Amino acid sequence: MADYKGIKGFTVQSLATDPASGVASWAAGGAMNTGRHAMAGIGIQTAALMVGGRSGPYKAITEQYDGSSWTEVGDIPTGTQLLGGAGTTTAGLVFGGGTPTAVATTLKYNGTSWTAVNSLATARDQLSGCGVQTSAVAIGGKVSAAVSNLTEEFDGTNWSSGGTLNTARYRLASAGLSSPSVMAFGGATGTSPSGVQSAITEIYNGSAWTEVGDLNTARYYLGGSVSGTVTSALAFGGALDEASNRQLQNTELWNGTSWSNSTNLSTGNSNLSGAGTSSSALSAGSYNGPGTATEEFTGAGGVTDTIQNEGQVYYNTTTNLLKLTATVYGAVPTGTWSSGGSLNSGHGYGTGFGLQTAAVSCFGAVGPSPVSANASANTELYNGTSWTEVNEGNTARRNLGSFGSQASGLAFGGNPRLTTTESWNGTNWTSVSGLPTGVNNNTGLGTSSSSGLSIGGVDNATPGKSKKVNEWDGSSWTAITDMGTIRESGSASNAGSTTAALAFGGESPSLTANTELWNGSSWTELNNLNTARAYAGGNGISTSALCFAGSTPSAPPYQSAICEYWNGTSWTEVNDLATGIGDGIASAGGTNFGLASGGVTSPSALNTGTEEWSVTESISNVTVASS
Amino acid sequence: MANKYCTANNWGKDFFTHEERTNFYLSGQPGNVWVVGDNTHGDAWIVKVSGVSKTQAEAQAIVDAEVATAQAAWDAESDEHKALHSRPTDITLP
Repeated sequence: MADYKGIKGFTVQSLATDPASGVASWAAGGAMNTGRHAMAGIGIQTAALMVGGRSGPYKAITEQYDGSSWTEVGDIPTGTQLLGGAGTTTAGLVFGGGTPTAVATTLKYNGTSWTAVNSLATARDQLSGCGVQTSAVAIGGKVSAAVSNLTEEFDGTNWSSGGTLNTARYRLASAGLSSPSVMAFGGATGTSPSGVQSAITEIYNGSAWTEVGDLNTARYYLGGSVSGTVTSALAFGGALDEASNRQLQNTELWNGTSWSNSTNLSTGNSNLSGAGTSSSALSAGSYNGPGTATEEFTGAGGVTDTIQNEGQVYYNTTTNLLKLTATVYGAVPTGTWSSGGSLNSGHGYGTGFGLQTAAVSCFGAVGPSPVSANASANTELYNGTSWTEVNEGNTARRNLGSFGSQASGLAFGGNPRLTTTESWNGTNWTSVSGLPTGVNNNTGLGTSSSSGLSIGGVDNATPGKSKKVNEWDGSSWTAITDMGTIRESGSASNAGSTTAALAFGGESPSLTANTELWNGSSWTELNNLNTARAYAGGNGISTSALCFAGSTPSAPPYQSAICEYWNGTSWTEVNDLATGIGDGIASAGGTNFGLASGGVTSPSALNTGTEEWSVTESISNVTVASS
Repeated sequence: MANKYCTANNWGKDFFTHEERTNFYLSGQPGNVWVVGDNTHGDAWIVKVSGVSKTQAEAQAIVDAEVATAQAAWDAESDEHKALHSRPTDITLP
């Protein structure tokens, strides 16, 4: 039998086990024997020391970690908190700190016990330290009531003065095993009332400090990968400010140039102590709670066969499965709405189409609120972050239908029962063949200007709410089979097609929860929405759709925040929008990634807000075929 | 479910995130009033958005004033407008 190489000319990689997640993570580590905070952290994740600290009384305790459990080893002579540390579990160093008086004491550890050696020139506490026992650096801190910018360098015997920080700080963190090349980040500046949290990062070259990229989140009492380097370090936890007592989970990774957000600590924490490197770090101690908990950080992997890389195809020789590492999405009902960029103008009674990151909001009433009935041809484009106002349409109107993409769309009908149809090419609107009959409060579905449907509304031929449907073939409209239910201001699966579409909700004449499926030749009534409404947003296709927000005038609040998911059989209520909206929502996207912009918010304001619907996405090993 | 109340201006992207929506109840109301689930995540969000904390009564008063203004505007509108649009309804904060 021919093998794959014989058929295709190349082999498929064989792996005994699936590639592991390359996503950084924090996991619970072993609990310390004595809960405390404000210790000196020394060493690496699998061989660390936590020295001193405080939990009520000042602690002289030293505990050693082996990667799974803590063992108490030799105490320091005096209970001390907020001290600096450097070195390893067999050649450690601590210096300074508060007893509570700031001290200059320096102690060397030989793997068993501590011995006092030459002191710092300047006594201080709330400092940071890093390096090794024979080449360490003491950074910043508080000297009595003053914030210090002092650096001292230890050569294994004596301390000497080094370059001063550009910004005096205390309660800061540092990293650098290869002293004097070290870095310091975060901390507090000023002293009133309890210091101001800092995002400042500085790198030391042995003679001078240079300010580099700031942390994304300013904070003090944070932890750091003390055994990291100036090109790869980790900052984690800390306090946003003492007034709110907000304990941060934020973790940031330094790449030598800038900080980027990484996976958060499991628990917000401050006054914690750090050890390890940027890819294998340890967080210990806590200001809140018992203070015995620790967490272990495992960094994201690089591009290797054993780390998940999207698009990697391999054969698992253990399970005999051909597999692919690919992006997979969480179940649609687990999605949530977050805030998106704000429209430049409030849009109500308008329409929209496209994708979450490439959307169009157009026509409708535009302007400050409250607003009387008005109409515009205003058009804005969304790029996933912000809206930009672009060329307007030719005919100002409101309460119309639309479909398409940001590069190819169609808008049709609208007040006062217009036949007007305009085609959007990504830059301009062009008038094209009109609807057979003037209509407003209609809706549309389709993914480009070459094909789609106009559904329901208020029809000019038979004034009143309509069940009529018209099909667009790229150049003209043709009336097709009526729906079974009259539907004004209804909604539709916006990415449906002329042969597979879903229409739901609207007024018929009272609010309806009715749902109908179009198969290209006839409409079939299916299970109802849970909440009847009109002017709702509609996303998706006939087998997977969202119905969100909309107007429910008989059941306040008038503007609904309710979102429902259609799984091809029935509607299920899922997570609400943050704000209820109705009357001309510009909906875009599908059921994994959707967009709701514009519309009218309570009590009657034109909405500038945008909300983005997203399900979770992750990298996973997917089976392609079994042998 | 207990709630807290604040006023805050929605600046757009990342004013509230998917993670935050998972962690606590959040509902936007007239007058930039936000109803926020009473837990540590909700507290953190109020700090993030520089929210000005309000009592439920204070928040309700802001909402009531907004609704009253909108109702007065609606009352002054034409019959055609009234036929097209419902009168703004009172809102009771959860």
